[in-house]
Amino acid sequence: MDKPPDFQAQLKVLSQAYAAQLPEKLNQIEQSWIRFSHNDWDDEDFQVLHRMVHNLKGSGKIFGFAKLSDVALNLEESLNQIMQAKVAPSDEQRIRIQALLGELHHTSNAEMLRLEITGN
Amino acid sequence: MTEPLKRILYVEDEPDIQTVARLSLETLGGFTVEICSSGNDALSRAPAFQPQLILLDVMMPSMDGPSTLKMLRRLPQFASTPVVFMTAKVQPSEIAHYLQLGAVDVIPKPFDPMILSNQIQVIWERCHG
Repeated sequence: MDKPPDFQAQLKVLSQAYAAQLPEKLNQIEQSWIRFSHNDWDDEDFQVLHRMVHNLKGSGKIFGFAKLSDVALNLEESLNQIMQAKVAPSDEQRIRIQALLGELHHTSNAEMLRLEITGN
Repeated sequence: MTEPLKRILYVEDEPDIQTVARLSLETLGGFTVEICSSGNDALSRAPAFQPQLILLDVMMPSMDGPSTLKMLRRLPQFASTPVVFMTAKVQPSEIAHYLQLGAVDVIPKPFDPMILSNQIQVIWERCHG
């Protein structure tokens, strides 16, 4: 059954709106990480950060940002390791997470450029 | 003949996912969709909406999907309403666990908005077959 063209158009509009919000979402994740990582273990701060990353992982692929979802998955897994220990992250964990945050930005920019070029 | 599926309660805390799921279910499936942002929201609004099927995200803050299902089942009118979990955790053992909790099926996340309505329809027909 052919999908109604209206549905495709609406989905495209949603994807574009999602893309427009991405820089702010990533900024919020970064700020949340800074807040969490500069203090001793704070459960609420951690849950806020974890939830944002989890949501990005879940929503990215739906809106056509598959690679972004993959990076968010890696970040979520790193955060899960911290959650299991329930102590402030080690230096190695901090470096890993900082690298993944950088990769999120890089991947987001690359995906948005791809969308601009392909018009999809 | 299977009673047609019309009313779906969708419980999901992420606004972007709510929006695309609603678009998919309403535009492609023709369903009437009530969206709840939390388990508590679902418990409070389900009785008035009377969903025929409930789509339930697993990982939600405060009250997760399994806890929400447990509480819904305590309401007599939802004792046997088909509930479908939506989750990224879809290893066979995880799916078996969700089915054991009382879900009729599990839809993997991220879902494909192009086929979500079809998936729900198939599940509904299987439940009533």
